[in-house]
Amino acid sequence: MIVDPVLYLGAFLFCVGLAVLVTRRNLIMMLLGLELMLNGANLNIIAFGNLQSRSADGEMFALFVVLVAVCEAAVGIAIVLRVYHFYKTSDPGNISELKERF
Amino acid sequence: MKTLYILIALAAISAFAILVIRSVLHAALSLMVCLLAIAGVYIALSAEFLAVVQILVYAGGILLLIIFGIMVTNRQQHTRQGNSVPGILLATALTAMLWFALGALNTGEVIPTTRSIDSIGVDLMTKLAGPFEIAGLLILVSMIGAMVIASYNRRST
Repeated sequence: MIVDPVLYLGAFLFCVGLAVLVTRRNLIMMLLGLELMLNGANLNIIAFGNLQSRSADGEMFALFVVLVAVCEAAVGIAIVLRVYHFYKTSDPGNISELKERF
Repeated sequence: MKTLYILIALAAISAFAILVIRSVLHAALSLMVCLLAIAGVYIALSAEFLAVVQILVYAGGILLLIIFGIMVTNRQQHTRQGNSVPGILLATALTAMLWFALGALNTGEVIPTTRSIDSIGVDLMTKLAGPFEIAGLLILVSMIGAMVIASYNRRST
């Protein structure tokens, strides 16, 4: 089998995640873009790990990436909830207290 | 082989839908389709354990958390877009760069091998025992941190 289409898919997912992260004005949507980018990177790791078919190192590495992504999502959602309760908005453009006070 | 291409197309289309769809909840559901398709790609790449972890953790855990977050925070249904021109420019530039870089790459034919799942367990307990323990500590700390941040009360301080 050929790994190349998976590599292209990983690159595409990373770029779409970056576009979502930059263009969307919603904290939850930005988290979605971040998850998409992490998945693109994971696909790349798995595809390159498959080139050396003897060891399962790529799979292990991707496993730890998934684990860190879980921690990031949990803390990120908690921070988004706090920010929403404080500012009553989930638009990062409106959260500008540090910018306007000086 | 044909299934792999179908899964790749499904993942790419649903990922692009996230960029286009205005509603946050629909975007989250589209992300779920994308994650399940990626799990199928993992199976095609003979990483079955990671596919199961992907379904359990991503489609089950993270997406549930995100949908709860949407239900709590999203008062207005639609979100406005911003930074459209720089975002699209950045993404297309990065896509073009990666496309040419991958075009120059020559990976060749890969013989798919089946790695047994018990070798993963043995690896986690012997070769990767240190990172495994540190990962457990990271999960504990992030769990406590998320609870403390989410339940922070100004009167109690």
